[in-house]
Amino acid sequence: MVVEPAVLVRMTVSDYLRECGYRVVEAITGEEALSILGAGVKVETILSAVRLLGTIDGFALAQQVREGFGGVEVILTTGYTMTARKAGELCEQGPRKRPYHPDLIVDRLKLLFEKHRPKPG
Amino acid sequence: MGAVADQIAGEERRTVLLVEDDALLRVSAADHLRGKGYHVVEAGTVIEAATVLSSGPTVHLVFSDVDLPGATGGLSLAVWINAYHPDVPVILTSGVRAVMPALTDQRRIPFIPKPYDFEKVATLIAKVIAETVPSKKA
Repeated sequence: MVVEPAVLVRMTVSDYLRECGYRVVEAITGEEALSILGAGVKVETILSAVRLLGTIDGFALAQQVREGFGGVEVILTTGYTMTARKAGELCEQGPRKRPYHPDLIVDRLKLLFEKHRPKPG
Repeated sequence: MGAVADQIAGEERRTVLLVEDDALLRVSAADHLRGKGYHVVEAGTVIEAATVLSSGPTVHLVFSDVDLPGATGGLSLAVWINAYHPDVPVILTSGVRAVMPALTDQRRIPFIPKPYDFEKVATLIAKVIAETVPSKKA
């Protein structure tokens, strides 16, 4: 499960992990992550940003997961470069060969952010 | 293999932007559409959807809930898409059936009421994409 408030980061990292052969569930907030887990969706690993929207941040999410959903590993990240690197590490252990270097996630995100930025003037 | 998957096979993968604030429904619907061969981008708000449309991958269709958090809902999103991304077709869904005539009659936006059957949604998406994508209207 990827828990990430920025849609472009969430989309890019989740797609990368899917290409690595994982089934990826996306959550925007900690509350969403907990409701998905609570509904019984099978999750082995959570890759979550520390800074989240809403009342639950990454640390609180990690704690609630540890208490309520034992066995689910939580990897916390700060910044999309770290998220990309951690996704790359997960990919190494994943079911399929790494589709491309995780640095390309960062490059791709920079490109997306650049496109999204309003044109000056 | 269903009819939709057959239709997609051999073609480039189509991207569907799914806009839904109910996390569980979003996860399930996205899973189902990925199973049909679509590349699915998930958004929980109108702002996220607009961000993806402005900078993300080429989106071939937007499937959006009408009732979304924040000041603007799915109908405003559909109107915005129609103005700024006129080539991208929109399908709306809602649990409130009363909005249906207003949508279908006035704006000719395909509508599917909630709760919906995933298979029916996939069929409608395939139909709308087939009608829109090949004929790149000006």
